[in-house]
Amino acid sequence: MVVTEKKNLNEIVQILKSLNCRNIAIIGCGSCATLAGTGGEKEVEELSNLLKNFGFSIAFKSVIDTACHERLAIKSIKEARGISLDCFLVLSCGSGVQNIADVIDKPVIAGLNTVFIGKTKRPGIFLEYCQSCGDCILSETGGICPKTRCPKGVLNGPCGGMHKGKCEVDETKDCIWVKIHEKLNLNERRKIRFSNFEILNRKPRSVGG
Amino acid sequence: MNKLRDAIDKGKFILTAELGPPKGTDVSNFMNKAEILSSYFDGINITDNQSAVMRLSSLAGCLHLLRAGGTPIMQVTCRDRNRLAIQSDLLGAYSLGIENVLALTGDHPRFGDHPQAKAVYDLDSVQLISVIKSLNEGQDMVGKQLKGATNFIIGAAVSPIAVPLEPELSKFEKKVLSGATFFQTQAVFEPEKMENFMKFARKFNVKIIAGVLILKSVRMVEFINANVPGLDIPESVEVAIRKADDAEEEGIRIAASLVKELRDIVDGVHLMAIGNEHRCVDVLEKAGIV
Ligand code: SF4
Ligand code: SF4
Repeated sequence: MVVTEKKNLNEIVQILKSLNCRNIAIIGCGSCATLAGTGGEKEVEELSNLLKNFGFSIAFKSVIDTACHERLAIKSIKEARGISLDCFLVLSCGSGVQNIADVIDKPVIAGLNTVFIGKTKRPGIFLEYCQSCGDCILSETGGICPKTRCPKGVLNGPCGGMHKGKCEVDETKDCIWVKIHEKLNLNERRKIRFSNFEILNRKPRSVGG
Repeated sequence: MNKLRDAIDKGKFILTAELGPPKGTDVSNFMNKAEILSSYFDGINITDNQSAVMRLSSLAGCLHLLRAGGTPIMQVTCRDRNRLAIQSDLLGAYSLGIENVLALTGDHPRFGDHPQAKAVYDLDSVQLISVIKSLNEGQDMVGKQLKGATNFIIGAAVSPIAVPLEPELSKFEKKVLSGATFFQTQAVFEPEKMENFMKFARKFNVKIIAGVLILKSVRMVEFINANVPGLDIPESVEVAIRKADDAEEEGIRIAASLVKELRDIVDGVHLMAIGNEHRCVDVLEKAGIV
């Protein structure tokens, strides 16, 4: 999932004020942001109450099943037609916010910070697991991503700073290359592919179309 | 003449030492040390922003060393430069007479004096070795022909006492397969452990140069144990330094006796004196090498 964190309330209030917004729509997301506890029904309701205390009027509320889906966003926002709105405050990851911005002509305000793609360890505990590099090597590395989980992103084994299985950069964490070896040895895949993995340069990407 | 190549080719016991460039442009102290070391050592490693502390560049340090009559081993880390910068620096270095490189991943900037620096790591040490090999073969890493190839002797690092050891040995093997021909090891204090590693290393046709640290004070021991990634000083050594009337002399004695013992186990020694380089020669003398 895409992991998000709530923005500080003051930051949101400041930006709403600076844009002279009074009548506000709050949009949540029924997918990742709901799972992250940052943009579901509950959080939309909470933020709505908090903003009312600051004197804003919450004129429209909706939790889109998937805020980053264009058709779903258009459908949901149609329901706001006829309501006088100054802006859309969106509680979703950055893709959701941008998707909303694509389909309306009002100011869009990001209510969350998007932090990474990761897993939920326990409710509220998330770990970064993937950088969406576009060239997945997990089948070679025991299902553990060194590009994401090694602070240096090295691709061929532990760096010289590995210490008793722990990471040079953070001694409280395991060296991910030690973990990869343990996993591969467990599965009797002793031969680790010699890696000349491509390192892709980041550029805007799309799939299909 | 490349003394390192000569020592490797002739099967001589290889002597190398490490020298860090100054933080600033005043190279007088560096030059004094470079001159002393040059006549005794087959190669002198010039560090590349060691421990992620910003200093005069390794390339410039190597040039100063050449002028002092020494044989440089240019340390190249993947931390500060991407593949374009690394390759162009390597071409530049070779064109200026630098013929030996040590390819390293590099300590994370987090430990240095610019902890906010962007950590590059566009390549890792294994990839860097294969890049240097291809420059030696007259091609850059994307296969474009070079007008004039390099002819570097490619070195790499290994930690013979890493725990766990298996991932380290696997990486060592990748480094050999990628083109490294000599290895300088993390500092060793226990020759028995080195013997153990050599059983594995001897399967490959590469030179193993054992790292020997010259300790000079209790403070230095404490600092290393707390701050240097991947390096532990055993308790027995720490106690000896603490008990000694003269910690610096004890450090020299420990290093010299290690060099003596390692002589029959490995292909050479690499002395790391961290600031006290003028004492490297004393270690060799005490060990009966010069
Ligand atoms: S290699 Fe890592 S970053 Fe790339 S797609 Fe796979 S998990 Fe994600
Ligand atoms: S210790 Fe392991 S996880 Fe940490 S930076 Fe080095 S290789 Fe990566």
